[in-house]
Amino acid sequence: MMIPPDGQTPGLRNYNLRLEISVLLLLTLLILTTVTYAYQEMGRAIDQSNKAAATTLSSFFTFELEKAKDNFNSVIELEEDRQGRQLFSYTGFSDVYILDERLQLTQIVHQSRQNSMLYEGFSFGDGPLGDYLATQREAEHFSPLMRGYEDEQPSIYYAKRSGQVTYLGRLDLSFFESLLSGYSDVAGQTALITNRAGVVMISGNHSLRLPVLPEDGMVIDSPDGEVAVASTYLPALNARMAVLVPTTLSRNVQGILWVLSTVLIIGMGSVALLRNWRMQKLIIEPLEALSKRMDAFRNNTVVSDNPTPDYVVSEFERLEQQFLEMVSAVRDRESELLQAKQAAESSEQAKTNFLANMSHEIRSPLTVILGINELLMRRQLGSKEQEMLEQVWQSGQYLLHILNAILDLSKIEAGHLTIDTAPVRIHELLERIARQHRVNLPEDVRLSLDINNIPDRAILADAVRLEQILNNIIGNAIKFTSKGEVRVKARITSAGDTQIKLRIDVSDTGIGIDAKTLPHVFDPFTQADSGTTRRYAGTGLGLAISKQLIELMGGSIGVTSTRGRGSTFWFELPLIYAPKSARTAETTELTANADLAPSLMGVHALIVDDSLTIRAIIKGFLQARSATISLAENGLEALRQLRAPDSSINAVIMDMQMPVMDGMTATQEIRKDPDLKALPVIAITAGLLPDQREQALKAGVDAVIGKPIVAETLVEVILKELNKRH
Amino acid sequence: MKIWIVVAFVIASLVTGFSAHHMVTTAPVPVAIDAPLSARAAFDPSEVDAVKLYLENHPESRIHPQFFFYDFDSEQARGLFQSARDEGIEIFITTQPSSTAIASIDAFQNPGMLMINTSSTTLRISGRDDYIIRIIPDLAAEQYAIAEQILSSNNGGRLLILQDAQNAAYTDPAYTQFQTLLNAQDRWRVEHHRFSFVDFNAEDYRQIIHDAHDALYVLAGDFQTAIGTLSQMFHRAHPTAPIYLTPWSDSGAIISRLGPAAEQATIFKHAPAWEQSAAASELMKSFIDRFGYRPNLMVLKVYKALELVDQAIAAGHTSASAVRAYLLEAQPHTTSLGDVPLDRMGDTQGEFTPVPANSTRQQP
Repeated sequence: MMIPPDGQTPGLRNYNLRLEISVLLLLTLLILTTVTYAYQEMGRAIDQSNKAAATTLSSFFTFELEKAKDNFNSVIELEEDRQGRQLFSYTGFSDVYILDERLQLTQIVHQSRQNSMLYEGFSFGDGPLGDYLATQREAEHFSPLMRGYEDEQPSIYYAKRSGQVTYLGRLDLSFFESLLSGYSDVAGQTALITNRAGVVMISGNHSLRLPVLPEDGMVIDSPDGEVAVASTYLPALNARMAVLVPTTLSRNVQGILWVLSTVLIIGMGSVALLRNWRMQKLIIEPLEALSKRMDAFRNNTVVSDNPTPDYVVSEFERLEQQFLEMVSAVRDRESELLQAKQAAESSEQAKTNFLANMSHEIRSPLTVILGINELLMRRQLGSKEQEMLEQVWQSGQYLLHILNAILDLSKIEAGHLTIDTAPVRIHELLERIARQHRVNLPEDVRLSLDINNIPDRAILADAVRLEQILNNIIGNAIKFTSKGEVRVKARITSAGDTQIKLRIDVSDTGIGIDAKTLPHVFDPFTQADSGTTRRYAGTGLGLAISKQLIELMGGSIGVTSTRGRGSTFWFELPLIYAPKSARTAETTELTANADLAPSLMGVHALIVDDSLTIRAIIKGFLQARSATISLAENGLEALRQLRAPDSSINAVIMDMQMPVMDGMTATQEIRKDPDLKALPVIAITAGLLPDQREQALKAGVDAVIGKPIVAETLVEVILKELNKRH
Repeated sequence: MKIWIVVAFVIASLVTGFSAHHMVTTAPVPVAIDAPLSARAAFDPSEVDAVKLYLENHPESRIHPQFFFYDFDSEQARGLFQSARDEGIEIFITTQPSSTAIASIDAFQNPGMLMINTSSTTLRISGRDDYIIRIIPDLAAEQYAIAEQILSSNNGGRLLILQDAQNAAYTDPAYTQFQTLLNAQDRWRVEHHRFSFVDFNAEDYRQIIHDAHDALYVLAGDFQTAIGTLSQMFHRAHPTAPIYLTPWSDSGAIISRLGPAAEQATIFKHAPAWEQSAAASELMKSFIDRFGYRPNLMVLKVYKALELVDQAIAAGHTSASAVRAYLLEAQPHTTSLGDVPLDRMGDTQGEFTPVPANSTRQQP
């Protein structure tokens, strides 16, 4: 199961907090919405109630207008009797005029006040009242509420056409003003009437200075406090009847609602906090504690360092119990695994020891066999005997090859094999390998080299391992080709400024590999079939080692093959160019002819080995090159000879495993001795495992030569070490 | 780490500074605007609606209007200024006539309060280094224009002058000015009568008006409707005699009461007359379309005053002193209704245009 990294998934503590806050916000929103809705509904109800008051006033107003109109009309009917005009004062009209067709005031019939801006002869034409009268078709109608022509006071005019004249009456609004004032005083709500533009014309509250009445529902400030507007249309006058209702009630209700909702929200918040706190105590903290204990368990610290919290709920107790059982079970399994691991490691160590011993035990007799064989081959024997010695030599070399292969595979599998890079010229390497293989090439087989595409520039590579790989692949190709050609083609498949990819194809015209076997050719100990093994011999390790080495170098290897027509093995390696100033590694070609080897004249070598045979063999190798030889069978004896006053020994060949005093100790003693410490010490060992070589070098030896000893190698190493000191 | 703290500090400072600057430069500026109280509880809302229209047309304006109402009582008006000042308001746009405003002049002698006067033509304000910016010419120029027109006419030599005694702060010096100018020629014989709009009775003037006259000059202000009533009465008696009216007769209510007298009546208007200005005509039309009634002249004056104050605020001036300095220094001021050239005393000069009342009635 994937465990998300810390910080990507919210913890339960955060998640729970977020959940609580979300729920709280949601509930707050719900409450606020509900309160707002309730408040709006209540406001709507209050508005309707206020509107009802305005409507009632409006109805009453309209009723009074109709009554006044009826009275006015009744008096007009009495107009013939001029005495009847006196009755106008009882109709509710303050001023009554007669207008001619041009709307010119021809006669003032009734005037209740002394001062007036009107006079007989005044023309109403072009004014708002005149315009209104001129546009009315009905015989009788009320004017809109307007400023009176007489005194600028709010006025309503009633006009009734009678023949050629129009009776125009100005309604006495004092009654209505008293009505609005009385209503305002009693109801505590200012009642007022505005014209169609909203300009306040009659107000029940003279202290109110309101120029224009706002829209219904608007809240305004008044001397008596905040009031809301509610109005209704007065169609008879094209005006609005309005009441200004104190908002005290609605504000109080609103305040109560807000207080209630605030208390509710705070209460919910408190409950949420309390619940969150308890949740932490009951669940989150135990879970976190358990998590810490699991972490401690994972980190192999003592679980009991994180104490068990006090669980309140039983589920966590059960969880704790299960956790402890799991810890116990895992510990048991860990113990078993540890034992198994130790056993495996022990087995691995045993295998390593076995390999080391095997190497030593096989190499030592092999040294004797090959050494004596070499010494015999130097003697003047008959051709039959020489041929037999040659066969012994080849068998010994093959045995050595198998031994090295097994050791290599073991090192690779154990991860002990490292790649050591140095500047190498690929075409030189390939030419040298080709030369070596051409020596033993069958008669009908040709080995060709196609290296034209390889630049003459050094690259960084492990030349030894590269040579090992090429020898394996080319050797196989030659081995399985009885006639035809083995072709080695090298090319650069991609090249950058510093990096390249080197591909080498080795094609042959040999027996080929069948499709069934092809996928397994790189498996260890695998050959095409058992018949192949019998016919062509081989360990089956070469290709496996090659594959492992190539992959260790970051490359890849493959093969294509057709049974009976041949195979092509290829590999590709990513390499880098060596710096131009770097020198290429000295690749020496071992000379097959001992006669060409350099002389050891002047060299006095001390050969230290517990084996008399080995001492004799090495002595034979070196004496053949004119060296002076001294012998010692252990380290102590060697030290004695070296410290002798007349000692002329200038090189020591030291076996590492000896009785009395081994080579390691003897070398350390030499290095401690001021008179001896400059002596070159060349170790001879049958143990070629890396740590064995490492131990020898650490003890102070200058070079390590593995058994079996090759004479030329030994001579070259002696000369090299001596040259260093000159 | 330290660099991030410095960067965070700089960013926080910038944000704070920007926010503070934004708050200062976008905060509403309270401006008091007064309007006359009309009969009883009813008001002429022209001024209030002018402000409303201005803010609708200039939604970006920072002006926050505060309305005050006066009832032509100078002491009551003086109290209004003081109460507005107590509320922290420094800038006032007033529509008060001379008789009402005159008692408050002394309150604007020192920094702290600035009056943008749209309607007081009294000479008491002219040529004074005070905190009153008057955007209309004073009565001297006004009376000069009217006198010049009368002197240039050929309609006989008997001039009836009816003077509004209620607004004496305006009409008395105006009459003196007018008489001085008229006396330059001895062609006109003046019959002068004072009248009051309080408890006005038209019949009281019938005999005076019906005497032999060749012309009538109603020296009155405050948009009193009796001006129309008297003019009509005069016209009935003298159908061909010209009638001269001051700029303060330019209201729908007065013109509607002129009746047939509109044919002979001439109103002297601040040039250019709004009927002759496309911008002013358009504004009046939009006002009528918006509010459904024909307002008085003060709509244009208040609108112009608001534009001037808004320009000062937009330039970053919000105090009385700063706005005054801006208005006196950044000349000339251009508004949508025309230029307002101010002298260093905060007065403006201007010309007058005689406009037949009949044509005014037909507008817009």
